[in-house]
Amino acid sequence: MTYKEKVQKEIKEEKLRNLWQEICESYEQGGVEQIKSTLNSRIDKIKKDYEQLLENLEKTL
Amino acid sequence: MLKIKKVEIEGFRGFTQKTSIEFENPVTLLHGGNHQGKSSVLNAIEWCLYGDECIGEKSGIRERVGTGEMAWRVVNDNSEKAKVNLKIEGEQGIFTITRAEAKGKGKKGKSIKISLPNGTEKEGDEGDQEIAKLLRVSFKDFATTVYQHQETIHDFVIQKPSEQSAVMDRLLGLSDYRNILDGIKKSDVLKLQKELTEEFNKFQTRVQEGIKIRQKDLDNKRDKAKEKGLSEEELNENKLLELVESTIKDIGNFARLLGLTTTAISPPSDWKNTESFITDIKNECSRLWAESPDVKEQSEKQRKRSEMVSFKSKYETQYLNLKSKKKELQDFEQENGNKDEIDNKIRKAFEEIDAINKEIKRISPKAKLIEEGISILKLAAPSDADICPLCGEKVSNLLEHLRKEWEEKITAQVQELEKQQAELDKKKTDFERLKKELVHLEKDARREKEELKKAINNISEFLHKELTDKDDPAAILSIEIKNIDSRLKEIADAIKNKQVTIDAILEKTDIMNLLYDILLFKNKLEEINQIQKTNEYQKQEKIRTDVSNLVRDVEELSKIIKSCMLKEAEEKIDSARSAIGRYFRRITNNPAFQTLNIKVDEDKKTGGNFYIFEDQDGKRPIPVLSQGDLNSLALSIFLGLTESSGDSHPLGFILMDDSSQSLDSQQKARLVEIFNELSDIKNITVSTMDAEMQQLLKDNITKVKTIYKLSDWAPDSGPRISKEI
Repeated sequence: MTYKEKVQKEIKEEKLRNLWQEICESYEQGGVEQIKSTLNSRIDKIKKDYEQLLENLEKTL
Repeated sequence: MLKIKKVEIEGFRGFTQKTSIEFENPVTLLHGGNHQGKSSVLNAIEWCLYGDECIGEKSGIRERVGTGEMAWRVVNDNSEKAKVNLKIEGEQGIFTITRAEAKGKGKKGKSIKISLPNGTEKEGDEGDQEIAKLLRVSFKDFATTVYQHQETIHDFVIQKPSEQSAVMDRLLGLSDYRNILDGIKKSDVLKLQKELTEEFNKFQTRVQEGIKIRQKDLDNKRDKAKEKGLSEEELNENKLLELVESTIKDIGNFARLLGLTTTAISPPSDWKNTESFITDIKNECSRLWAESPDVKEQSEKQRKRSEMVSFKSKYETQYLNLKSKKKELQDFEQENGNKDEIDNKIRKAFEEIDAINKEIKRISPKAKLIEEGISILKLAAPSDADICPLCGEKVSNLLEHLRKEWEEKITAQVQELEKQQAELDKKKTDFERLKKELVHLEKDARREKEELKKAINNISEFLHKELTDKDDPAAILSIEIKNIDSRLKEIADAIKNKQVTIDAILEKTDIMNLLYDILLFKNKLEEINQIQKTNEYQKQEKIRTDVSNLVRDVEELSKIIKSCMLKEAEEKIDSARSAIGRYFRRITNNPAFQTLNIKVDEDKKTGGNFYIFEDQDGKRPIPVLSQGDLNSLALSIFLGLTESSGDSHPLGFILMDDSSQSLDSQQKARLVEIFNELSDIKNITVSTMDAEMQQLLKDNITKVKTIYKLSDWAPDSGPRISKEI
């Protein structure tokens, strides 16, 4: 069994399985740096949205 | 079990020209100096079987990580294409695998083909699937149980004890877990939650500050409202609207009081529009006030008064200027005479100068005559005594007498006349200067007079009244100003009541403004206090929850990865523990180590595995092991894993690359003994540059062996390979 299958077997939740799938694909595509950039691109949008929301909220002050 | 029979290499790494190496015997020895292509032979086998899997980060081999100039290149620098053809013998017969890659063509330039013993050929993805089916060994297992890379031994020997765990992970084929954990750790996901919490805390602080500021503003306005006579109960919308209604009435009454009509001002539809209503009221007040007849007259009178004051001031100034000039002229004439008198003086001076000039002219021909006479007398040599023609006296030396007479009388006379003439010239110049001054003063006086006349004309025009020389414009203006002042006083008394009315309206607008601000601040405070109910707030809450879930997922996944990594390490070590210990004791032959126990645990710091080596007494030997012992330990792990993979392992060969790098002579000899025993069950290919190891292998391997010497490597041809019998 490969590392991918071994981890997959231990995962119980569907969303974790998807996350693992995404990480594995990134790793196979571009190694460690690709994992980093995949995860970062996911959170960059969250960060931007969050900052925008706080900015809007601050306008009400 | 599958065994390699032959490899053909062309254009791959150190090989430029097509080269063929056969593995027909249980042991194959590849020897030669550094950079002669020994490792390239083993790499070619690996690449042919696993392709891109053995390149880059995921290979777990550091020298194969990197891109561009640093990349581990498959295609030889002097070739356009790399091609490896591998013949493997299995129970069914010979399998031929051919892998090729063209330089710079990317995926399109890569090809794979496998020919099965029954003559079937499979290519591309199908070819790779057929190879995987045939090998039944993953690349990771291949790297830990079949191909002992020189780097793993080297790293294990040179790394610090704290970094040996990473090498151990590689030895055990766990690099993927470690790499993935590194990738997750390098990302900002785990930091994100903290960052968002910090941002949110800052925002909360700003909300609290906002509440404080608004509350302070509200209190301030409340105090002011109370100063204006409003009670706390009145600080509301009803009171504001009540004031709006009464102000509209006040404006109507005020317009009527002034005899004017008012522009219709609508009450605000809602208290929030009060600000513009207040502006409208103020503008209407200003308009009505400006259009009120009293105010208009007051304004007109004030303007007229101001102009009169200005005319009067100009007249008085001009009058004083003229007076001063006249006085100056008068003083001058008293001192120097009037113009006629100065003219007379100048004329007289002219006449006197003229008379002197005439006298000089009269005397001059006489002097000339005498001068000439003296010259004649000198030529005629006159007698010593004669009568002087000038004075009539008898002189002894007439010539000398004449010369003296000329010098003393005529010259002195002329000099005296010239002196008088110079004095008269000076006098004349002084008189002329005085005349100029006088003319200038007269001109100034005339100009001042003109200016005064203009000032009077202006006053006359302003007052619409003819003014004669007998009139005193200043006095007339004073009376006019007094009359205006009197009228202004009457007007001021008349508009006093109206002023009170308009002031009352404006005071109401101030109160309305205060009430409006109070309602506004109350509303703002309410909005801030209710911020948690806004959509934006709910959304940011959701983002924080989502991030928290994502972080939890990533942490959970990391935990699973770590646990799998640990489990796999434990399983591998468990299955190979006794073999590793045995091989270690055997290669090192160190009496201090009766047993070598390997434990594995999670490294809390790095997130990877942490390996502990213990001897029979529970002591940790790593810090005191020699490089040879460390080399032996790495080899023991590889050989232990190979052995533990069992007889059922589908691959019947192992590839040993530079295994003896730090071993001493006895350790090398013992390793060769092990190779000899292993060759009973597996074909062994050993690559070495170590001459002692080479000799030991030649002398002590009891199986049939093939020996290849790789030498004279050149870029355009690759190594020269000679087969030794």
